[in-house]
Amino acid sequence: MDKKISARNVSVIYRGKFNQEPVLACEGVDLEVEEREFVSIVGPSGCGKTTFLYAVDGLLPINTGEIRVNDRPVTAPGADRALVFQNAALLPWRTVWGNITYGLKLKGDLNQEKVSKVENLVDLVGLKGFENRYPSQLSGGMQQRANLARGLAVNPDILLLDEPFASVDAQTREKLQLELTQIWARTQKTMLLVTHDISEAVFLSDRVIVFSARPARVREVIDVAIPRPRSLETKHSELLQEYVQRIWNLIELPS
Amino acid sequence: MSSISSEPVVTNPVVTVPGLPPIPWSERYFRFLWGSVGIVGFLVIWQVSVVSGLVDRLFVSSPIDVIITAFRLLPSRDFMVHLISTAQCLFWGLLIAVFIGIVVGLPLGWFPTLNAMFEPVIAGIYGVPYIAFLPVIIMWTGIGMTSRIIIVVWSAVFPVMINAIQGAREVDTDYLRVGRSFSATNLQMFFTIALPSSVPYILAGLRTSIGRAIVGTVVAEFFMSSRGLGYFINLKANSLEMAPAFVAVVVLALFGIALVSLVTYIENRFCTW
Repeated sequence: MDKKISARNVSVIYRGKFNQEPVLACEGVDLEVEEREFVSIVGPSGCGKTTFLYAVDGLLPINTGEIRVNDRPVTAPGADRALVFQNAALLPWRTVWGNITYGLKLKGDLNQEKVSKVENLVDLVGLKGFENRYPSQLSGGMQQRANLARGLAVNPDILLLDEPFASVDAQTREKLQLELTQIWARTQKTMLLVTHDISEAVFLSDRVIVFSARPARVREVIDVAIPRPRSLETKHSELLQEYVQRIWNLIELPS
Repeated sequence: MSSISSEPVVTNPVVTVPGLPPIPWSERYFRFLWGSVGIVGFLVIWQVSVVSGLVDRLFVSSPIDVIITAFRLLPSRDFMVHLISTAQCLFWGLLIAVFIGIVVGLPLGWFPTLNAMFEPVIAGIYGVPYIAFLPVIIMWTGIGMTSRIIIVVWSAVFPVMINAIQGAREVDTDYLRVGRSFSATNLQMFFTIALPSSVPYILAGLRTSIGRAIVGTVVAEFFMSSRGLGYFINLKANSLEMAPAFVAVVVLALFGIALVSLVTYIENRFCTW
């Protein structure tokens, strides 16, 4: 197997807080992600897509089956993956720079060379000049930029994105989506995105995986044959809308 | 690598446009002004009630007497001995209380098992008025600085400890995930997530602790000391010298204000987030 990520018959039992009833979030999920591919997972709200993403990151144990990343089974979070969180989840007591370098600092791996790489990264995500701000002094969009940079800073093979643009306003979201395609092209990372925004999924992805309602299974895999590079015109093109319509029809609305 | 951001990033700078009216001083210093009016008003009513004979000068003194006495008393070596003694007791007591509160509190919040085990015990001890232990502490350590500091520590440790427990216990799940996702070790989780996230809780607890520590100091000095402002107040009041007693009370109040201001300063300086 030379897949970047492969999940076979994965079920995940999610236990929220301590002493809370467990929930079967995913059941029998099979999927594969190729190297440098951009894959999105969409599905009805609360179907367990985020839970699945956490399992790929190694934050949650899986109940049955196996998730392999770089052909090694996932047992815990590792340096080959980084998660971009839904609510930015920047540590409020650290500056933007402190947040972006957090992963490197934990590893004691912040040498001169890394510092200049992170400086480039800060520039890439458009946060130059904001390094010394605290997260509370940033707009939602800027926070998500920092969130993204924090994930990229540890130079992972795979970036796992959990609805990263869900909480920013519509205009900023479109802009960030466009930037993400460019970052993806430049950094050549494998990206796995979870989102409830279908047009976002189509716009960004090579393939869109549609999950069923909980417990989540793979309902359909859709190849997105829209040429790259994609622009904002692509976003509003008829071709993209056709994909959106097709996927929309596949999503089971929770009763 | 240049920025891929398609347009320059816009921030919200504070722009002062010439020609716009400035904030009126009555608005800018609103709380300060009316706060001053409150204090002066209170002192005037107090002075008038004493002068008019509404209250007995023998028992309450008057603001002017207190101020005159303060000028006489504060530079005197006799008073300074008491002031320094109280300051020492307060300083060491608070320092030890904060240290114990944090060092014991954070692990008790961080480890769910420890938390479940010790919370009832702490709630129990916290519920007992520490003054009830005064005779016991006198039996243990006699009368002197040690027993006074024990009382101060006892009175002040719980707000810091309980807040440290809560702080370490209620760390945002998102932050914990961030740490775990970047493969933080348990020690790193504690020092880079739990500890900084608890600091605001600890400082809030410290504010409460300061008030309790001052009460503890005075109580200790009433009963187990021949020094300190508490002892001084007791001594003077018993001989109906109200002005010196009130001076000592004011000094205690100033201690409290100074210490709370220090906490505010620390908050503004280090917890700007």
